[in-house]
Amino acid sequence: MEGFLPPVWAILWTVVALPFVAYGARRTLSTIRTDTRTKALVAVAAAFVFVLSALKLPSVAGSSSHPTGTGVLVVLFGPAITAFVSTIVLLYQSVLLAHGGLTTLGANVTSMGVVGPFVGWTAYRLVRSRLTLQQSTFVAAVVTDWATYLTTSVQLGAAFPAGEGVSGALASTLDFAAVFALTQLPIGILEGFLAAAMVGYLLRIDTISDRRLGVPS
Amino acid sequence: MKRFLLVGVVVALGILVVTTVGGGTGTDQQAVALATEQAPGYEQWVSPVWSPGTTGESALFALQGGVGATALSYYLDRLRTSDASDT
Repeated sequence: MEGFLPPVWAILWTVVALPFVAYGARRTLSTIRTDTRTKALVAVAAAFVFVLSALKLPSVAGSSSHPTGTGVLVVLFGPAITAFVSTIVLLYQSVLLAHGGLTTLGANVTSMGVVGPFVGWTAYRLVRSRLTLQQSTFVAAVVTDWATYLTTSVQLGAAFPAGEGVSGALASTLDFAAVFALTQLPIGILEGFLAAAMVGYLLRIDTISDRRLGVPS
Repeated sequence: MKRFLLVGVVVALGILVVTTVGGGTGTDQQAVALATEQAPGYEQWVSPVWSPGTTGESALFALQGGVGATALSYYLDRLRTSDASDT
């Protein structure tokens, strides 16, 4: 929501997000120049984010929320390119839909484009040697989604603490995490299945293989 | 190109139905309510220049999903049918 995050936090998260987005933009431009296949793969993974983040899915307890859709990008191209694509999606939603807002863009990019994808990518790297590509993608997408909303909880907890100091921010973070958890836990799992299915399809049409994904991260 | 646009239209309509009929309180609204509870005196320091309203927002989300689905089906088809996967 525009103007919802106090100015100091809006500026802080924008400063945090900026270098990742700038680096991601450079990586995206160099990646799409690699070859036709890679360019098309980036477009597929980016379009996947566009579609999934447009969904407002009903979940348990009568609440609803959005998937992030970033899992496929994380697996195929790593967190840097995910940061840039997420910024484009969030910018569209901020400007045209008045959803999120320009003043919360830095915070949203930090959670959906930077921290969530980085944590998901780390999880992917940890499990990849023991699981198949599709199973690893499932783990990456679920962890990316949950980490995104956990980061949002930390951001909101810090901006609207329940008391003095770190303990107040921590208590508030847990309150916000509780708001998101019930809705986001099943949506994250659904997102994991959808991302795994997409990667499975790309494997079946021989666009990617176990050893050849997008561009090494 | 027509079939890719058709995919986009179908997905857009699907999103429109889910967002308008599926409903449920959004977690973003719940988070705003909780923040208001934590800081009762806090006021927004900026207001959005424009707001599409609930119906407009649903339609624009549907447009986003439709454009995404069109691009997704187009590039998947290119990868499936062209030599792109061999390069």
